[in-house]
Amino acid sequence: MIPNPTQFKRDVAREVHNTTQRKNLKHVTGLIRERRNAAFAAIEDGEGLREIGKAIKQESLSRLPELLEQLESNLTRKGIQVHWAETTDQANQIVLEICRRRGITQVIKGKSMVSEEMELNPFLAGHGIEAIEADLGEFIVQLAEKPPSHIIAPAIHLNKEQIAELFEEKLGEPYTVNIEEMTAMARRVLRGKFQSAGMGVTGVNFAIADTGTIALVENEGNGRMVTSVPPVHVALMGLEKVIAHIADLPPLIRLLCRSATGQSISTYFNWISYPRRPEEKDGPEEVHLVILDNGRSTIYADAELRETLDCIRCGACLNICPVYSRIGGYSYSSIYMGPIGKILTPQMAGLETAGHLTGASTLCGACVEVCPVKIPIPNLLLRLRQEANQPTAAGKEIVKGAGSKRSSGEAMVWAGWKVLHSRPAAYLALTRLAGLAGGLLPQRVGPLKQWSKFRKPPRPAKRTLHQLLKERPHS
Amino acid sequence: MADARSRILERLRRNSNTPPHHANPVSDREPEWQAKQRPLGDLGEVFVSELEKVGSKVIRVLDWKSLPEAVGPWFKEFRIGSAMTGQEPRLEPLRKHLGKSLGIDLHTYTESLEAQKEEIFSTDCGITTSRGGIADTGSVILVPTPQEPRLLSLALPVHLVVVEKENLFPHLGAFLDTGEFQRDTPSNLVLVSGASRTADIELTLTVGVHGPKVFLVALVG
Repeated sequence: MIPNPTQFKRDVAREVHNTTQRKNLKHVTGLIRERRNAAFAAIEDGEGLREIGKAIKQESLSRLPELLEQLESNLTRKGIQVHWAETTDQANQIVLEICRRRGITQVIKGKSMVSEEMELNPFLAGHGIEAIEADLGEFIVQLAEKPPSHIIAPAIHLNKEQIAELFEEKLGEPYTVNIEEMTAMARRVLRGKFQSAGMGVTGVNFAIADTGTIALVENEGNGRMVTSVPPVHVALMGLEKVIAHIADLPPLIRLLCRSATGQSISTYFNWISYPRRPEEKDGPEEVHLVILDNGRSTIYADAELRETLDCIRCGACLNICPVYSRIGGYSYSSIYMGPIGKILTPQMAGLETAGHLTGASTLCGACVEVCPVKIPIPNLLLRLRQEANQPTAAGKEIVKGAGSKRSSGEAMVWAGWKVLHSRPAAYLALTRLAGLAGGLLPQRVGPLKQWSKFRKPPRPAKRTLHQLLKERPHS
Repeated sequence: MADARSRILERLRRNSNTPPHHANPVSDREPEWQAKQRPLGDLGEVFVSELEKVGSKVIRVLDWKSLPEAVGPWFKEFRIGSAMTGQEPRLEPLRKHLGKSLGIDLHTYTESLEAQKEEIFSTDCGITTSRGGIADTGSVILVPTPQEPRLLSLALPVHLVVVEKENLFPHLGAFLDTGEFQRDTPSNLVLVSGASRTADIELTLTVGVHGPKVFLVALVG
């Protein structure tokens, strides 16, 4: 998926009028918000917990190269094979090579946003390998031939009637809107796949350097199935997922589950530290970890933008965002949607292709209030808008595509604004003129056209504030 | 991809800033926070109440000896016809009771997953012991071993697990404080806090998606 400003405008214009989707999203995001708030209210020091979460992530990032090496050496020592990929292409190739070496033609997957980033499923399909999503939400969107529309709840935009139609059409199952029956259908279909697949693919919630452990959070049991039944397990992670100490896992898991679903802990919290050992009867014979960069090391280079990498992918910012709940996940044309997507995607894809996403915000700041690791999303949005608009010498860009949104017309307007606001006489003269002749300004052409498309055109007051104040009787 | 590795690390090294750098975990430096998370009162009661909140069935028994009689009625209630255990000697009396008194079809996980796959996936109930539990989240700590492999607690529709009260920890941090995970890291450790569940359709909670549909806990002690 490649974001595109024209497409974005078109999609938003359509989706804000998609009343079914808006109703579905309003209902579901509202419910998750309530559960999240209740889960935080139930603990004594939610704010302190968020501070600790932030500190753990910041400290881990400050030692990132060292921790990644420590993780690699601990995992390798225990027989888990570690691979490094600079790009999603490289990461896909790594997975493909493992499949080819073992003659694997069917892969079963747990939920993984990095695999979505890699577009792994279509890549594998192009090489004759079937990838099946096992998480129920992912399974549903895969049937619909779509990516997830939400980080945590992939099929959040669909209601049960829509899903029932999908199951009827794609699985040949009898139409039912009974959610238990629908879940049982998925269980039936996927049980066989867990047993026949040659490889299980998952994401990684946290990778722990000091013990060499991959931690996975899930509720359905598909993550355990995928990492226990097939002979090969491949875990995919963005390089920011490493933390230093296993002892720092408890606060992070508290934050993640409470923020994502309002649970105090997920049903399964799986810690994987070895492939199957000689005396063991089950578990994968091979475990691989793919560490993906894909632009993260560039984000890392800037101390302010680095906070983007604190994200633990809980999705709380999506659930509270007034924009997300009105336009839905697909409008962003980006794997990462909502507030986190608006800061992550432009940095990964570049401001020239995804810079417009930084404007898809009211800067209301609700996302910061709920972020478990306190990422200052509005500040980062502003910073990225600046990066997109400021003149940047080639080769000196901090963010890919810096300066790409700069327009000479807009730059001139602001230069004029600066002149006016630093010369009182010129300012007074212009505001008076605007008061006298402002009503005559053409409303449907030039810069006012965009503004007045959805709003009442501005009409300057006849008398300026300065004039009114001057005429006010002195007390 | 050795080149990818060195290029990634080189880019990160150029920009990593060592401070703040502490030898200890962040959470260790926050003793007040740890104390605040500690549940009050009897750990057994907290553990049971947290498990019941998410629909798990819990029974409390005084000792291992009274376990078979105590959990027997569950087999009738949940219409369990067949059960599988690993090779855990402490479960032998229960096996005897199930086989002789209740006529349950008994299986044992003795070979590899590959050799017993069909049998594992077609048996009704897996019975295991556990390393212990986490009271404040109602989580059972499972550390699968060659005697009690992973699939016993995963692939069968019902999972019955025995937890000893003396192995309850107030919270996850307290379990990690023992240092046993760090010293002797197992291949796999999983915290299980109820039956398999999903809310992926309209956020409606549905139990029993891929893992066990019924989660039965016997708390001994």
